[in-house]
Amino acid sequence: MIKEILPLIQLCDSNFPSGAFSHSFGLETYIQEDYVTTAEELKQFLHVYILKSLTYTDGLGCRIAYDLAAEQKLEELWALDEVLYASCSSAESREASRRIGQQMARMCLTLYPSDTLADYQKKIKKKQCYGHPALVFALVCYELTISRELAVMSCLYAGVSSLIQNAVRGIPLGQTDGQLLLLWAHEVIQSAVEVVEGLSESALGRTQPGLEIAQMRHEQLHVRLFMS
Amino acid sequence: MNWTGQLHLTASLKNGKTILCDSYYEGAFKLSRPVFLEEDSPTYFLIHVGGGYVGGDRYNQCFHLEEGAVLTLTTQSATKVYKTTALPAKQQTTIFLEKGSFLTYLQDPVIAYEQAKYIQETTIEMEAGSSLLLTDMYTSGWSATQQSFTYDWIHSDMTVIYDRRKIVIDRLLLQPKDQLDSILLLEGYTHFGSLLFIHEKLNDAAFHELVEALHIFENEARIGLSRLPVAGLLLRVLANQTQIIERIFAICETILRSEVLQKEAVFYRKY
Repeated sequence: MIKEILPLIQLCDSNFPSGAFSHSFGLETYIQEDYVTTAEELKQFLHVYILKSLTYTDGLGCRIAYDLAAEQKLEELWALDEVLYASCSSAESREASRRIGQQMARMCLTLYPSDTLADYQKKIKKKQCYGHPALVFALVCYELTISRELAVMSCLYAGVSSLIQNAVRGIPLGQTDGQLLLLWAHEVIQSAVEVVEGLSESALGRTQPGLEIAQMRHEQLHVRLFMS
Repeated sequence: MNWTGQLHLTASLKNGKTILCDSYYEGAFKLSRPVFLEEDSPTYFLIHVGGGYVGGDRYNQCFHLEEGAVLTLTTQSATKVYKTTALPAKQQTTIFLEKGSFLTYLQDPVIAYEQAKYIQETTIEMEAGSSLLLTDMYTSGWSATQQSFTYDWIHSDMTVIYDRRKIVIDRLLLQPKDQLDSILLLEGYTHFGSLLFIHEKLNDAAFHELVEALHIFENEARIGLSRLPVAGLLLRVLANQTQIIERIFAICETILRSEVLQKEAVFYRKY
């Protein structure tokens, strides 16, 4: 077990060069507009963000991708990439996922090569796929014989931990506050994994009006630390 | 298949004018006679002859615009969804737009009353070079207890396919048990509206003019707009009144018509 877990820890490390460092996915709008200025407010944001958005995009996306990889249904896997891309209505956040997905695919192909990931990378290069981190997580975890549940959990964890890191810089908050929030988020991530298990595929990409608007408004902010 | 209301129409271009070459409706759906708010392209009102939608109602609409056809469809009044005990009320809409056609589809608000459950599914398939302007809005109806949200849920699912690529997938589930007034959800507002515009000629100048023009609503509404993967935009609005969202949509429509279509504004004169 330890042998399989270590590559996963490396993949979820906030130092992993996925590019997530540059993206706030709308959080920066809330920070600049003074809705999120304290650790407590960030906690409220994260609670809703994880359970009402991330669960339906990255979480459910990763679960479906994992099964498709296991069944080798590649055409459906590429169709999933398109659905995840089209379901994000903010151009910046859509590009953010695409860039992170592409960078992760490139990096993971070197670190944890597999035929499916190589196919995905080829599709991305030919512009037949966009790239999405949830798909890369699913493909890498499947190849490493990590369970589907753990794949979804680590995919959510990576997204949440990088967002908290960025919030610590953006608000700003102390490092201890950031780590305490990440610790608190474990339980929320755990609930999200349970929710993902019970969702129907038609819930994929569901999002929330306020969050979408914040992501869209980010494009109009004058001074920005983050690209989304 | 038994529908509570069904409406199918096909529009085509004949000698420079758009006409309906085929239309069929039954049950609770009716189509008005054409109104010519613009010379060559008719506007039709979509009429619901009952008082509103109730549990188990099933509605089906298909709009097909042939090459070059230009048509406006708009609901005659708000869609009211009343208490649905067992089955939800459901409306399915399928739109097919051929090359060079342009559909303007303006929907009055869906008002969901106490214990309403409503599903709206919309699939839009567009050939390259076709255009679309679509608006929709969701809000909650008056309730005896004076609470803001008393409906059970509203579920909307829209897919737009352009030139065989999925470019918009919009899945919304509003359910009051999720604490809709929370941050990221409706954030204290009661009305949620969207305007979707897809047109090859949408350029940076028109987009930025829209952004600038909407600043005046900063105190009354929360607005976001962004570009689509193809030439087009999606605008989202949260507000507390139907009229505010309608004013925002009207300004958008005027700017898009003048900057992108080089056409004058249209006043639909419904009320």
